[in-house]
Amino acid sequence: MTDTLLLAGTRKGLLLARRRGGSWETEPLALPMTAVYAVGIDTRRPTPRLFASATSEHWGPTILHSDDLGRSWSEPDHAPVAFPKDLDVALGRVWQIQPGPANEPDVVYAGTEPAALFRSEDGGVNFELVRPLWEHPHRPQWGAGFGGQAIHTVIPHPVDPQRVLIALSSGGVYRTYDGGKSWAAANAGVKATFLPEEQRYPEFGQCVHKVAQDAEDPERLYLQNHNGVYRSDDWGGKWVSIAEGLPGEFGFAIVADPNRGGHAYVFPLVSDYSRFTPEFRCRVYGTTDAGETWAEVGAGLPESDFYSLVLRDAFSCDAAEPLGLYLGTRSGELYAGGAGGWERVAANLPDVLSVRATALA
Amino acid sequence: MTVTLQLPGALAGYAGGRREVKVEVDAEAAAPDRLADRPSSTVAGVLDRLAADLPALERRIRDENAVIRRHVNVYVDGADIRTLSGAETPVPDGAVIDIIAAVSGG
Repeated sequence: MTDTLLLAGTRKGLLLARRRGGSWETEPLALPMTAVYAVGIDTRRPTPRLFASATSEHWGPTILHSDDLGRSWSEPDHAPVAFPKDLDVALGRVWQIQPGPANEPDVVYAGTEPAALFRSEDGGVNFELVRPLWEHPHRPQWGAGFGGQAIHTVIPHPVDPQRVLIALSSGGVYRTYDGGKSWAAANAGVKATFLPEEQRYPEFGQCVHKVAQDAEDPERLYLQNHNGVYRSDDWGGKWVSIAEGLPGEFGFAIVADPNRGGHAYVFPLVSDYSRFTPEFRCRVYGTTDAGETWAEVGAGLPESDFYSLVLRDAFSCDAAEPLGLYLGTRSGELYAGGAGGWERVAANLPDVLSVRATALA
Repeated sequence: MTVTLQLPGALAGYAGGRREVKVEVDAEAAAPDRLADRPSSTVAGVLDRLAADLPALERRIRDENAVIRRHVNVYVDGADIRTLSGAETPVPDGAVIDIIAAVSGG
C-alpha cells in the first residue's frame, strides 16, 4: 500500500498523520491553539511543500510552510498575507491555500476572510492582493455565511494560466479569463433557495459551498451548493443539477478524483433545515458518470447515531491508485478510505476544518 | 529613551525566546499629555519601533493597519491603555509595557 501524508487542520491545531506499510501513525498536534482553516500540499516540488493557515484568537492569522514534510514550519517575519494599507481592512483568516497550475510552478493562491483573493509568485511565502476582484462592483452586496464571508475555493484552470475560478459564501462563483484583471459572476443555473421564489436565480449572491475540477475535461466542474449539487461543462457558464440519486442535496464538501474524469464525491446532508446525514448514517456518495448516478462509497463509516458532519474543506483525496479519500468531522474524527472501505485514523480531535493528503514516493 | 516590553510565553518565540524586550525609541515631541519631567513616546510609537526591529512579534500585537488586536490587552506601568488614550497613551522613559492575552476562545 502507498505511503501517505495526511494533514488535518482543526479548530485548535494541526494534525499530521502518516501511513507507512498500511498502518497510520499520528504526531502530536502542531500549531496548538490556532484554528487551521486551510491546509495545502504543493506537489509540484521534488519534496512537497506543505502549507497551513493558522489563526490565533489572540495573535491573529498567518500562513506557515514546511519543506521537510512537517518536521519544521516557517513563515516570513512580515505578514505573508496582508491587505494594503490604503484599504483600511485587516485580514481575518485564510480559508484556502491553492497551488497554481503546473505551468506556473511558483504561483500559489490564498482565499481569505474578508472575501479576497491573494496571489503568491514565490511559492507561497509572500502574497499580494488581487485588486480587481476586491474592487468588483458586486463586492458591497456579497453576504456572509454562518462562518463569515470568505473566498473558500480557488481553481486555477489546468491548462490556461490566464483563467482562475473562485467561489465565496455568499456571493457565488466568479471567473477571470485575463489573469485576474477582470472578473465576472458565473452562477447561471445555481439556485439560491434562501431568496423568495421569483428571485432564486440571481446573477450572484448564491451560497456556493465548494467547487471541484474534473480530472480529464478542463471545462468540467462540480459544485456543492447551499442546497443543490451541480455540474458545469463550460467552466461555469451554465450549471445543471446532478442531485438526483443523492439522499440529500445539502452539504459542504465536494471532491473530484484527480485521475479519472467523471468521478466525484460528496458528503450529503438532509437539508438546510436538517443538517444531519440521512438516517444519521455517516456516508460518502460517489459518481463515476459525472453525476448521472450516485452510489454509496465503501463500508466502515459509522452506521448509526452519527450527529456530526463534514465541513467544506475537511474532505479531500490523494492522487494514488486506488484513490484514497480522507474526511474529518466536526466531532473530531478523521477517516481514510474509499471504495475498498474506511478506517479511522484519529479521534477526539478538535473540530476538523481542513484536510489534504498526498501519496509519498 | 528605553521602555521594557513584557511578553506572555506564547510570544517569546518571536523575540528570540525572551519574555522581556528592551525597545529603544525616540521621544516624541508631539506625544499627548507629555510628562513634564521625562521624555515620552506613545504605545503606537513603541510598537512602530517594534515593527521595524521584530516584525514577527509586532504583527501578533497589531494588525496590518497598526490596530491593536481585539483580544490583546496592553498595560503601561500597570494601567490598561483602553482606559487611557488607547494607542496614543503616553509611554514615559523607563516604562514597562505588559502585553497580555485577553479572555477569549474555548
